Amino acid sequence: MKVAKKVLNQINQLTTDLVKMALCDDQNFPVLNGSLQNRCCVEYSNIVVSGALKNRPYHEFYREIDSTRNFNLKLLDGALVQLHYAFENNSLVSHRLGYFPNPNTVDFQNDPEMYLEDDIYLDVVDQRIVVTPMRFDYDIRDDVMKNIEHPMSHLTIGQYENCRIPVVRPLTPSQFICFIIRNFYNTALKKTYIELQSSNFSFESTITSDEKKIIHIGIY
Amino acid sequence: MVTVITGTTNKPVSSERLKDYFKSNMDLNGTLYIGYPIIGTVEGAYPIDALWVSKERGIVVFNLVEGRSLDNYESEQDNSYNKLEARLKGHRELVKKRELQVEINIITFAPSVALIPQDDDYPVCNEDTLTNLIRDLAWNNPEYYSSLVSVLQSVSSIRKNRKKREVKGNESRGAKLQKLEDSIANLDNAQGRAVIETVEGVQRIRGLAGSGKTIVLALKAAYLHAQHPEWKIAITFNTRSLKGQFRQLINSFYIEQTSMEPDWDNLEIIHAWGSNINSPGIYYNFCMNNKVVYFDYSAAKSQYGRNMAFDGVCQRAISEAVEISSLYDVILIDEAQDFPVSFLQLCYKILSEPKRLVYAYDELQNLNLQSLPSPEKVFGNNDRGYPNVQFVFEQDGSSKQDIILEKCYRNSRQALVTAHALGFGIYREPDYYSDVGLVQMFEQKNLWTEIGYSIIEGELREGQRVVLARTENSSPKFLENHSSVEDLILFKTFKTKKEQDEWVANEISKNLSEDALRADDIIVINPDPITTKEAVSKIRGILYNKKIQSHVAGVDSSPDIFFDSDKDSVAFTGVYRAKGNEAAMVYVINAQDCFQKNNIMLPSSENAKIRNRLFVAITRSKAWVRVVGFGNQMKELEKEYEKVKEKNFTLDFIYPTKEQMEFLNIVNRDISTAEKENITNRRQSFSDILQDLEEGKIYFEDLGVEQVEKLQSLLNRRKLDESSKESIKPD
Repeated sequence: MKVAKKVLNQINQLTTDLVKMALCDDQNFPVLNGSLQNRCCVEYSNIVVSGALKNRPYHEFYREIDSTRNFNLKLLDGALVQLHYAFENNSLVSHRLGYFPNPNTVDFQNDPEMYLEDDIYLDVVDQRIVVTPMRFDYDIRDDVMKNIEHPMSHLTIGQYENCRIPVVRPLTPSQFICFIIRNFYNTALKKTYIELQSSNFSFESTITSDEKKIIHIGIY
Repeated sequence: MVTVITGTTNKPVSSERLKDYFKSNMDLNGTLYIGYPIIGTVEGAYPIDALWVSKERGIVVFNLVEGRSLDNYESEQDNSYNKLEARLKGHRELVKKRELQVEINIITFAPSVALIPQDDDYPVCNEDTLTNLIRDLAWNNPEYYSSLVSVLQSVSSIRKNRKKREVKGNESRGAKLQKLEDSIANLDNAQGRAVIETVEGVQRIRGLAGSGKTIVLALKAAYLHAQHPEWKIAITFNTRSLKGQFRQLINSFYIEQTSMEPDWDNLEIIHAWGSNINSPGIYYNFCMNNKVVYFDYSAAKSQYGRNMAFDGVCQRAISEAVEISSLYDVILIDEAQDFPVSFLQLCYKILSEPKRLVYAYDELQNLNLQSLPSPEKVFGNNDRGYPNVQFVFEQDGSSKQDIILEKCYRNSRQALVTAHALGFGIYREPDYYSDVGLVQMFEQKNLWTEIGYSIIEGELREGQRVVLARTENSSPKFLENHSSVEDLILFKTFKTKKEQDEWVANEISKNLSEDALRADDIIVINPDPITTKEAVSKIRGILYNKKIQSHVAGVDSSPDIFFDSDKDSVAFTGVYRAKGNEAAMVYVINAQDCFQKNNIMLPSSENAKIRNRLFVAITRSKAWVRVVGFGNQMKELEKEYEKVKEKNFTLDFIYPTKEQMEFLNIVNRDISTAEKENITNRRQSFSDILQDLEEGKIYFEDLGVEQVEKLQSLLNRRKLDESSKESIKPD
């Protein structure tokens, strides 16, 4: 099977699972745009690609992508998940995987029973939490990639401009989603009896030998 | 006799005197409005001081002069005439060719002016000369009277502003729904009156779900704001998702009436609790203004317990505030039954004199089973020991302070009677230990007639059979005529949850593809508020695979919007979030949770609570409702419904005797259910401790040596008591 199709199917399956696990409150269908032969993207149905929000405060950015439904998944606490993959000639050329948690969860003062009655919220209503957006980006373009400074696959934490923690390889949808759910929705995950589909399918390693010498994220 | 509807006015003295005049002249007919209508003009809002409409004389507008000087009353009269004529001419039914068929007379009423000028073109009068003036007026086209009255009565033609639907075919559900929505579009007489009628003090508006309380409250806020833009007005509510609806209603009504945007600084749509400066609330503002400690929900919950959280913080805030400064001139509270009494008191305290508080109130929508006591009790006594608030009733039993909206526009007669029958347990099999099938009952018998039932057989008396039915007056026919009974309401019992889920998903898919319904015409309600997310996840999973978009109304960054009409997505919700919202097609799933098996341990209040959820869920439906579930309990529930249907949607039961009432949950009783809850909670936690001790999860040492000793001595004392009782028992 073409790799793009594989990615699409995986996102579809994960979405279904998350809906059934009651972790996902709202969602968009993943779609494949372009042709499988040359260049194509796996994204969500009403994607808006715009750099206009790039320099806005995080809560404005969040509100904007939320109100325009610019996401694959909206998780139970309002966190938004975006998955975007691009392929050329059946091989991955870039991905942008974003986890954008809801900065306004304190708003639950007005309707607290919703949260507190159900312990699947335990992780997210903890008062000590500082919500932190995360992005796993991957880009093979020569003019972008730069040894150590801009690893081909990297993790950005908290929207820091120059935060690019090297990642061994690009991530499959399943690797990314499982990472998010396992770490940020653990109580909820344990409560449901459904398992997230895991898959053996993985992308090739892209990390450089220099990058391996600094702190990086491994996935093998 | 002239019916007087008193709106709000800046000219209280002359208004009062005009009212007195009409009250004492019994031979006159028609309706007198004070402070109504407001006319939107190019220069902004133009309020009419007073307007009298009658069949004999058409319209008489009174320009009121409060003081001793008339100023240029002539141009004011011209102005009133032109503005009102322009407004009425807009209604085709009042115009023939290019001529307005309504006679408009303008009279300046100046009771305090000493010297009344004699001018036939611009009449001025006081009480003494008014009679002569009126006598000379005549209207040549009284056949337009009923049209004129309905134009004046329909305070607004504004309803929810949603996308116009595109309807294919005449018989599809979509087409039926369109017709239904058009029919409901106008406010009826009672609603219009409730909007205008203003009380310089506390006012209560009661009515069933769907009687239009929310819209009346919204329009009332807008009306008051239009008349008194300088007043600080707050409108507050319990269900967050109502905020968007309020804003939209007020905005469109205000623009319709005044051709201007409301000034949102003086007209606040505000939460009850509130958390910070960006998300304020009445309670939050109270704390900030009176410098008392503010509690957020978590803190309040740990201090006062979940059920008492808001009550606790409100009471505390009131008792801690040293000198309470007034923050608002008017507060309107929607769904007041969901608030503790202390919140109403808090609102009362921050109002400036004369304390204009309007609360809309619904006995049966109450899910927490705390009923609001009478206004005398709620608002306490003054220094001299008299109640602060006391409703004044007219001779016919009505009161401007206590408005009842008895027409229900949301539900068909069948759906409403079914909801009542199931909610009260009218056709429930009697318990073997109490011999009572009923679960709850109104404390006052006349509440049945107040909510729109008529007695068609028997009487409402202890131990007597009574048959209650809804008439066309309280449940309009057009709400039921569009579909067959079997289609209006459907109960269905499945063997398993899986079967239920698949059926619901299939039906929704059919609604969207064949019935011309839109996704936002459908809501799926799970009666148990705590399990909603999990309970609905399977259906949503199936829908997702069918490529149908759905969402759980819940944690949202824009929590004030329940239905998003741009969003092609079916809403799933728990019963709490469903309150105050409505949809054409309602699926009540897992309804078996609303039927409790015979259980002697189950207090009737608990049984009433779960049945109230069913009541709320069913009454969300504008047109069709499906009640589904699985297992034996669902089967029993379906049987109850079959009885309702057999009885042709009447309530046929033996009114409970005093003795039987002991077993029932009494609606509208002035006792604090909190006390009872408290005992139950303690019993539960005590039994938890015992179990933990037994299982070795905790040890006696963990409880503290002192405590254990105390317990030991209490138990010993009890033993002694009992043995001494034994010993004095006669042989």
